[in-house]
Amino acid sequence: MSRVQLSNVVKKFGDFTALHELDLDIVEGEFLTLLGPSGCGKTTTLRLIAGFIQPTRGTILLGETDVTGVAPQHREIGMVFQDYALFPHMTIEENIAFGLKERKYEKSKIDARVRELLKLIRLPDAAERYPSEVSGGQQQRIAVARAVAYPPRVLLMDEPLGALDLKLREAMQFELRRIQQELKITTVYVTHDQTEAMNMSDRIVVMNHGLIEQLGGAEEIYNHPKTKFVADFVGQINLLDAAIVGEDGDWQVAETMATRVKVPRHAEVAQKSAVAVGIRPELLKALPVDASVNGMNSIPGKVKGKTFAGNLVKIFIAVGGDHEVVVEGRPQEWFGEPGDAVQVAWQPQDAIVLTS
Amino acid sequence: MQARWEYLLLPSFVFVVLLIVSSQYVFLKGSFYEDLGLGQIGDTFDWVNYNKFFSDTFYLSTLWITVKVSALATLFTMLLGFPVAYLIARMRSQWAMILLAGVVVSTFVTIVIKVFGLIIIFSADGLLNKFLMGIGIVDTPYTIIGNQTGVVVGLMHFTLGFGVLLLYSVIQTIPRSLEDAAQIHGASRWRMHLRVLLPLSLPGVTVGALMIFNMSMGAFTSAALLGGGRVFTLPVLIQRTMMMEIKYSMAGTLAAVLLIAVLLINLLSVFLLRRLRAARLVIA
Repeated sequence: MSRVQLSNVVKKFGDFTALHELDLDIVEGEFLTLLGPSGCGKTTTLRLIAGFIQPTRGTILLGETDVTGVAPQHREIGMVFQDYALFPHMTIEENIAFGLKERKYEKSKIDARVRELLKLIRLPDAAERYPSEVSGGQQQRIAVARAVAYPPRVLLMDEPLGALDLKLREAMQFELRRIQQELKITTVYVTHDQTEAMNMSDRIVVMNHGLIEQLGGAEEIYNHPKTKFVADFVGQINLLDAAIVGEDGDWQVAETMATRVKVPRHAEVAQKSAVAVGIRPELLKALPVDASVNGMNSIPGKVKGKTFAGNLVKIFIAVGGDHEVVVEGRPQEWFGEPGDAVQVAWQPQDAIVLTS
Repeated sequence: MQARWEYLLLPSFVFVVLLIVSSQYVFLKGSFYEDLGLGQIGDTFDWVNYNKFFSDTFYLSTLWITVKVSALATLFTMLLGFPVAYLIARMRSQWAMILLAGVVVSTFVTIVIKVFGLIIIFSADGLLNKFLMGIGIVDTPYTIIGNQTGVVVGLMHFTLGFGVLLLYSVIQTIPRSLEDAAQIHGASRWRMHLRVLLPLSLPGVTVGALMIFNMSMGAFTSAALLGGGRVFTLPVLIQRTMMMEIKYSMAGTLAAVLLIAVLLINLLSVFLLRRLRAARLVIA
């Protein structure tokens, strides 16, 4: 059963189309992330579900109810904002109780629920304090408690970790995921941070220019991106322009950088098609020019530079003249030095053929 | 040696002392000597003018009318200005700046021009009455010129632009996401205003209201023109006492009473705001 369903949703702001014909089914209890660069329509989608803005066309269902045109306060939704949006003049207790009070719950019920939520967010003693008196990470958790209090049919989160520093952000990712799973609450999360999306989500929707580029689990999106945009936005990838020129057993043969390489068979690609061959940096190797490649693809290149990041080394190699590829590996591996001629090699099955 | 930039303040300091403090001093000092009329003042220091003020119902009623019309003008200016300021502050398009510019420009048009506009529209043989009588809604002309309603309207005309500007800057400091948060968690727009926007804007609104009130208490032109010589507020009476009755020390007394009344009301408001803040009903 789908918990939130967007059908044919179009949103225009004047002449600008923020969303084109969006169809999205969000499953009961799942953690779904809308991922994309700024301006891709992810926040617009979230605000449409919340009801802050209305779609130009299309319908939005929450459970069985059509909520298109229904005001936010009647949608039974919880939301965590980028700046937390805690009420500075209310105590933490009053903040968490806000939605319960608006729904006219009895005082004793509100008190019990607030205590329960404070325990859930691991701040049992903070009730009487004010938001300005606790840390950013704690404010974040209070905002979550306020959003899940009544409890809502859907929890929306708009880049909630954007304002935190890196260490705290990582800790909060697990904390949010824990709370979400404990409550089994359907969650729609918006971020432009692919690591965050992959760490937390059941499914990820990659968006660009108001369109869904791909929808799937983290592994599926990383290992089998459908478009160049997804391949490039989710993780790093080397894209080589290529043309399919023939077949070799189970493989197709592509020509790139004046070299023939074997690539996985792509059902839709006919001969001579212009494609892109994508290989993740960690799947590329830099080898000495005279090394044997044992069935791997290899193209000649020249080392341009190198960066050291402790647990891994990145090496930048120019292939086919001035096209730069990135090779990533362990520090103890051989990479050559800047100026050296090398071979860039990879296993044929590690490449991804992308047509758009 | 470090440059003594504070010396740059000296000219303005001298200016203020000469033109404001010293003239106030002359008046305040004069208020403590009996007024003998025709510009003559007594030579013994006493409270006789103040005794006259506080024992004369005309003077007392003038003080009361001044406070009353100023308070009413402040109240209505805030009530009228808040929605306007709110809309401009929350507007996303470039219209916000155009509207705000309109408010600023109309605020700095001299009040004489604005009040004469009001008089043309609202006087007994003005446009409004001609229209109302023409279509038969009223038989006898109704006018706001020369009564307290008119003075309140005139004061509002004088202060509304400032009010909108002040409220605009207050509302702008309250993040819009707080409104969204209140709404998504179940508050109607009305409840959102009541529980979030109003308490958060209260300190700024109080300060703004005090400024509007102070402006109204001291306003002469709009009160004099719309009062039409029949409504006496303290500034109008001060001008009359000094220029027409030539009672300098009585005028000084009236000015001193006005000054002290304004000070007391401001101090009281600040004190009340502190109490609210201590009770955490509003934020600092």
